[in-house]
Amino acid sequence: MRFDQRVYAWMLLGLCLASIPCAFISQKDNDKDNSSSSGFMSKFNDHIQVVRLSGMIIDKTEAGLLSSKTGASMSVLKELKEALKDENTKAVLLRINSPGGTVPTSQELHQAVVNLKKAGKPVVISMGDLAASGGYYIACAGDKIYANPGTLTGSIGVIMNLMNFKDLTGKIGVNPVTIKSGKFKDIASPYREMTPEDREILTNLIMDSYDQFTRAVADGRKMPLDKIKTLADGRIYSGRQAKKVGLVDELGSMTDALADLQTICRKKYNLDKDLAVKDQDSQSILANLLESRTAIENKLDLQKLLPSQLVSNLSNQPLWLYQ
Amino acid sequence: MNQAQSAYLPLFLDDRARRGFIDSVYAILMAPNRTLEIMCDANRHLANKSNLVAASIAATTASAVSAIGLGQYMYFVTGLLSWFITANLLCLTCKIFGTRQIQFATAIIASAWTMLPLIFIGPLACLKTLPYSHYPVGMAMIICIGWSCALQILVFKHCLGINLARTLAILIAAPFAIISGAIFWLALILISSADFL
Repeated sequence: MRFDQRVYAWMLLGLCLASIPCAFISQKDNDKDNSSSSGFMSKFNDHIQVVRLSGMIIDKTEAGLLSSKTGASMSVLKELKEALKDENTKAVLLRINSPGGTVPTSQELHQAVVNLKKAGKPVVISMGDLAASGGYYIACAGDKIYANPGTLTGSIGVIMNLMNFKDLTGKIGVNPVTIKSGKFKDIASPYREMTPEDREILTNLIMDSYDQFTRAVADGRKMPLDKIKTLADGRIYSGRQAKKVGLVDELGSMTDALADLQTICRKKYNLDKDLAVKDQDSQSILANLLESRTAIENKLDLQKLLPSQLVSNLSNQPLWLYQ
Repeated sequence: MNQAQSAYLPLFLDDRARRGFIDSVYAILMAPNRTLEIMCDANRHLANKSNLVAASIAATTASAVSAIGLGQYMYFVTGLLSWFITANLLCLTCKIFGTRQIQFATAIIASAWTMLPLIFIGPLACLKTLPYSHYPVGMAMIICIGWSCALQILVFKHCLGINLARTLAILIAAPFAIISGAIFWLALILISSADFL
């Protein structure tokens, strides 16, 4: 009878070990069905990275001790750089929902997209509600642009907001005194009238920035510069209008953009199945709990109520911003 | 105990018998409480090379089969890590709460055998392709993991040399108290530094 115990145990163990190939095959079948899942393991497998850019494009890291706010320009820049470095990231889907913002930050993000393309990683853009001005500038660097028919886009141009308080200071009896090293050091001063020379210098600055913008769009969209300049009078376009004039490639949702990106990846990398998708929005419970702490606005942000002319970060500098 | 009953008793329980790897497998599955009691006693089950090798084979096989079954190959590494962590935790808990000290080798052997039920995750994974099988197969896998956890509790009980109620109190209350304390202090730091976050 003792001998039987060993036989039973060996049989059981043998059955478990024999099931390994079967379990392996069944797991592979399962993987085929769930290849687009965004699980923890997608980090270690080849995947498509979804990056979301939302809100004003400005060099301000909205980060706390535990997390950075998803969608903020600087964290998006970091994500794009990580996607470039990560060998497992095979392509990027960039979701843009932004009215634009400051010029240098937009250019850094644009360059990050260009670098991804240079590294051979396809980048498809999906436009949300708004992808205007600086938001469009970043989008035009992508391989393909998807917009919803109702998306607001375009607004290709440069703007600089200046305020003049000269009359106000005179009324309340304040006399500002400026000591400067050069004639134009207080070129955008709100306490004096703008001279024609000041205006010319600032207009040249704006037009140089405009030239950089239109050239980047012409390069990205592979369209003649003259045609871009006719479109770039600062007007906004709906997604459907933008498709007609060639500013976007396809009309469709983020799901359509992702499906197209999967097709591009399958062709490019000779894959017989879709890549996994890593989306920061679907993080673990713990990560979401930690993020939620910073999502709570604990004080009234008065800056959001002010026009951009009065916001210190956005005044006295050229902006690629839809207003 | 009559002869028919004793015939089904694992050979492992007989202190005079020579215990092989397969005897341990049978004993862990059929009489886990008494088997683990023997395994946790270094005088009855020596922490020698052959027993260490047998335990390592059990833990490695169980980790590998469960990792393949669950389709997450990182679980193999996680399983092995959790084995070593459990063994260390066992030694530490015995030092703090136990009525006797145990050797690390004994802890390694005992905690390795608690992973044996995970081996059934492999055959269960084969059933996943059947229609409507995801829920029952998932439940069965959870039962295997629960079974393994129950064996770990038994190991703690025998190593600590106290009854089950006290073991559960230590295993549940101690981490709860530590985590609650940690959360309290973390929350205090977070609240007090809210403006800087």
